[in-house]
Amino acid sequence: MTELKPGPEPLAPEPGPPVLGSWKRIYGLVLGMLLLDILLFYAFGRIFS
Amino acid sequence: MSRLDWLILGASLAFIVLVGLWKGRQRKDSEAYMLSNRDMRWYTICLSIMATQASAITFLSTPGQAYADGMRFVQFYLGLPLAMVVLSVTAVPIFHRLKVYTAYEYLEGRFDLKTRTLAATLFLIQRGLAVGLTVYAPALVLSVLLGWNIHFDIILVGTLVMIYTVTGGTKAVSWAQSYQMLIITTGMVVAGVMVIRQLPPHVSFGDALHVAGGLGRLNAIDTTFDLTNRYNLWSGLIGGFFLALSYFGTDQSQVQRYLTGSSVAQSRLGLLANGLFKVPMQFLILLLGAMVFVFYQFTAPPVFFNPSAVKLAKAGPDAAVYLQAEAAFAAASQDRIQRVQDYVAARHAGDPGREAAAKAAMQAAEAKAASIRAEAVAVVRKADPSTRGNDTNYVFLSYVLKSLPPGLIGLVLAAVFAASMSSMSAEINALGTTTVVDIWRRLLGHTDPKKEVWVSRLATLAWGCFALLFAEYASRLGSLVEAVNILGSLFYGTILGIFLVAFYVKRVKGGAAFYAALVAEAAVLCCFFFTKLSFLWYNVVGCLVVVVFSLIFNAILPRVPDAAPASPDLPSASPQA
Repeated sequence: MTELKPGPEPLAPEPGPPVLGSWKRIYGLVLGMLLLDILLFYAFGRIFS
Repeated sequence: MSRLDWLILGASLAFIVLVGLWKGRQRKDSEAYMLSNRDMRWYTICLSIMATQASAITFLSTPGQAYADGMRFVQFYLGLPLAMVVLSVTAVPIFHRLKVYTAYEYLEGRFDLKTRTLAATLFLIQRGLAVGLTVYAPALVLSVLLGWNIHFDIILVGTLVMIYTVTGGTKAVSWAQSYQMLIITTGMVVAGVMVIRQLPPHVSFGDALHVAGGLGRLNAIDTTFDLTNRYNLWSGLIGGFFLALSYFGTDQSQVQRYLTGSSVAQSRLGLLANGLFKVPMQFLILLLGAMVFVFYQFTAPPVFFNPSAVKLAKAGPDAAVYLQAEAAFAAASQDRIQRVQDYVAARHAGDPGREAAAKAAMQAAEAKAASIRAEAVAVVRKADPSTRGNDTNYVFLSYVLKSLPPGLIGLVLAAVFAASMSSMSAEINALGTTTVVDIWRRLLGHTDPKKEVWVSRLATLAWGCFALLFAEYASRLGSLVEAVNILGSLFYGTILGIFLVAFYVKRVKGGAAFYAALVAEAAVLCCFFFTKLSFLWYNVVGCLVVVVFSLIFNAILPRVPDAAPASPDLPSASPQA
């Protein structure tokens, strides 16, 4: 009789971030800030040139 | 420098060394010494990452670049936040799951030993050379400031760093970096406030921005697509993305910072916070440089900011030409001061027609001063070719030394030293770790854990000494900040390509990735020697060549059956592991 062996241990669910609730929200914040930086820097150069 | 300056500078340096020694005490095993027992929180990781990247070069050259060339250098950093997100999603969970000490350990499980060794060796060469430049920058500060022997300066800075890095390892480095960032931030904020306060009373911050913008120093974003232009939006977003991906994802001096995180979440947050704050921080440092430029629109600047190069020019065969240009520049500067005053007065008068005319006159005066300066720079360049006619590293320092009050000079110099020490400590820490983990432990087969901490200390010490020797040659390079970036770009693309194939192209095996990496490195070197391609694109070229050729080689090379990894402590690794 073949002995049944346990399968590979399932991966633990990814822990959430300690702030802002979800990783997607944090990624969005970082990318949104980048977009804002580019727009502000562009406007900054145009306004004061 | 006053006694107060010396006191602040000395106290700051002593404080950094003591913090490092205290936090790094009792590091008894390799994991504690190399990875601080993986107990760091995200804010310490973020500060450590920022301090590692922001060397003294950043604070010496960047304001000078804004002074000479405007703020377009900020575009260089625009790819960084994108890279932080990608690394947080991919590399961080993999490295954490495998509990690696170095990024290159992962490559053995995924490919083979020779690919791991190739990547580790490229890192040791590239970072080993670059750390010499990190030491050179503050030595330059002291030699210009006090006329000290530059060799003595290099040894002093290197010794302070090695005291706490060699004894305390990664924990000492990370904690010292947190306080170094505090000193750096304070120093730069104080310098920024002072330069604005030292403008004439009737010149507001808004006026200063209009003067800087009118003279082409606030051109932060350039949307034209040009492969030979180093800094535009596209080279920054694409080339900068690949460079940041390589630097933060495959350079052990950065990877080791977030490997110390107590969890995946802490490491990720550390990286993402860096992505959030880095671009605004660089913008503010460049703005500081633009304000120094405005300061020198109301105070006549020297025609060339490097005093030792000026001395050579005045002693050379074209001394008469230089002196004539210097006198003409002084007169042109006085005229420019008057034109700038007229422009500010016209702005205050609120007459658009008068303002436009005054602005055109100001721009003409600036163009005349710039053309005279170009004549003087040509003489300097002939007298001292090592300068390449570039004085950007001296602009900010000259302002600090001549214009800041006692106490604040010491504070800003402490910030420059702190920046240099933080980068050097992280770099020799990572070089020592890679030497022990990827060479001593893996290649040479030493497995005695009792010896490993001491071997790590010796390796860190050896790399520190090598850095000091290499620093002697740094003065022969041009603008320091670009030199470091160019050096990095020669290797980063290839290393990144190896990691991208490892993460995403599962069917490619070790031999194919290894030979593709060799082809990619040859391609990057060809670009460097035989083309005018801007260096930011080397990362793209190196990376793409590795990916494409690894697929080709994988199809044509004979298949070798997969073997279990020879390293006893390393599981077979894939992103899905």
